[in-house]
Amino acid sequence: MAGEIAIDVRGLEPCEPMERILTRLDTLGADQQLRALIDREPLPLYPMLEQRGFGWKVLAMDDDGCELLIWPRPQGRSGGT
Amino acid sequence: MNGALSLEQAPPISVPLRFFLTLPAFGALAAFILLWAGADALASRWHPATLAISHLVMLGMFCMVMFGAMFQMLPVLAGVRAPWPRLTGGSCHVLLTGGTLLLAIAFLSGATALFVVAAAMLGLAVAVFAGVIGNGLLRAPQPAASVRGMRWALLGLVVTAIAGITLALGYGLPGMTLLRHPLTDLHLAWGLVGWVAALIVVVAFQVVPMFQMTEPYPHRLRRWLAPSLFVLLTWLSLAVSGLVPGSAAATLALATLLAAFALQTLLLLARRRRRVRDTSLYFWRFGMLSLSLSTLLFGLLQLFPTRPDSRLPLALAVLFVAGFGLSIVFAMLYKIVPFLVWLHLQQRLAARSVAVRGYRAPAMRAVLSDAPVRRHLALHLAAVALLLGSLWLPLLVRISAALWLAGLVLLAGNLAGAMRCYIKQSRRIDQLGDGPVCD
Repeated sequence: MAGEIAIDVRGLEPCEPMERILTRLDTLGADQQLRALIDREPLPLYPMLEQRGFGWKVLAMDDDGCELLIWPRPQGRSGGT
Repeated sequence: MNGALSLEQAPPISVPLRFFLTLPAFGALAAFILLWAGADALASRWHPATLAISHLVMLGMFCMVMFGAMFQMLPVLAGVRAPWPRLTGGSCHVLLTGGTLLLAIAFLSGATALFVVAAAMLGLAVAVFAGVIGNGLLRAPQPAASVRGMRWALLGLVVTAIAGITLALGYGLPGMTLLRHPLTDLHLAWGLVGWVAALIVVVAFQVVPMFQMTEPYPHRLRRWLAPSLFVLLTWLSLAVSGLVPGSAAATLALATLLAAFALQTLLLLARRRRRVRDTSLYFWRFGMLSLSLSTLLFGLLQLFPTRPDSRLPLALAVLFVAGFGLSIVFAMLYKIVPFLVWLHLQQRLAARSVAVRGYRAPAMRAVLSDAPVRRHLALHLAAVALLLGSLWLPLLVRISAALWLAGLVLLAGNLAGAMRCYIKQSRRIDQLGDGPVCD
């Protein structure tokens, strides 16, 4: 990956955290990945990532929030890990 | 993680919304009956108008919102799809709507045959709901505390329904003999605590930290509260049946647990991280204050059972059902509906094309602004206060009913406004070209 962009959306009111992540993904380069810190696991986000062609991985999750890694998926491969 | 989730797993927005949009109509119907019956509706728990109103509220409002929310939340919380959501959700909605209406008419008219038809329809509604949602909750691949809690609440609903159907058949089938008083008490206890309070508790664990920006509830409370309520209600049922001792201890323990939940929620809300003005917060605070007061009254009535004032149990019911239950239902609706609108617009956009970048779905506050919600809060607070006051000053009851009615009309308008926003934005997404479009 050429670069990693970090975004911290903790402390924001729904639906702002998912909105900001989706907006940031719109400008993500093909060789970049997004590391997002969010208050809780964003389960409704996953189907949208799937549909928009992104892969994702939950790096850490506890009472203080969830750390998520998101990257553009090569065509034809699916899902998060 | 959760890679199996897909867009197809979430039910269409019409599935939860048909339940949510029906709710104000049943509330308005209950308010009309209160307006018509006046103080008679508060004279005795066995009065036909009282029975009709209480079932319109419990089935037409509580069950309606909870059924809709569960159909929506099952894929999100459990990662499991409800099979044929349009068919199963639609059937539940039709059966619950028809059964509730018929039951209310049966109470008001005394037509015994209607009790049998209503019991059959409501029994089927609960059977379909418990079958679909219960099966989904059991199949959850990694059941979180909220999924385990919902299983207990669903069991509470099934017990409530079995007792309720038995009671309704007792009205409808002349040869059937029942111990109506203790069975009604158990039906009430399971319905109010085992189903309504247990589900509110479990849902609060999710939505209070999420929408009110608080710290999470303590782990022990999340893990043990719902099963403890179920165990204590089982103990209470056996004690009422004379099989084990200690019904007073069981009821006191139930009151203590619910009071602990209410105080914990008030504490979390007092320490919330974000200080944005938000009316749903006041619905939550008023709901938890009402729950605290009702558990206090409940405890006092257990400790001093000889106290003669028959209005106190009614005050307890008003505080629990209208002050606690309805406040939380409204608080949840005002957050869940705008969130669903945003979510389904995003999903619609994602499903259409990645090329329509730049479109922004309206934020929750743009779907439903705070000012009309605040007006509803004012009407709701006044209606609950006057209903409590009418126990001692009966002429207040019709004013309270009129305020309920006005509040529910406002609620219907607010929900319809959110729906209009969804339809308008959906059309806009459908008309988007391939280039970027900004909202």
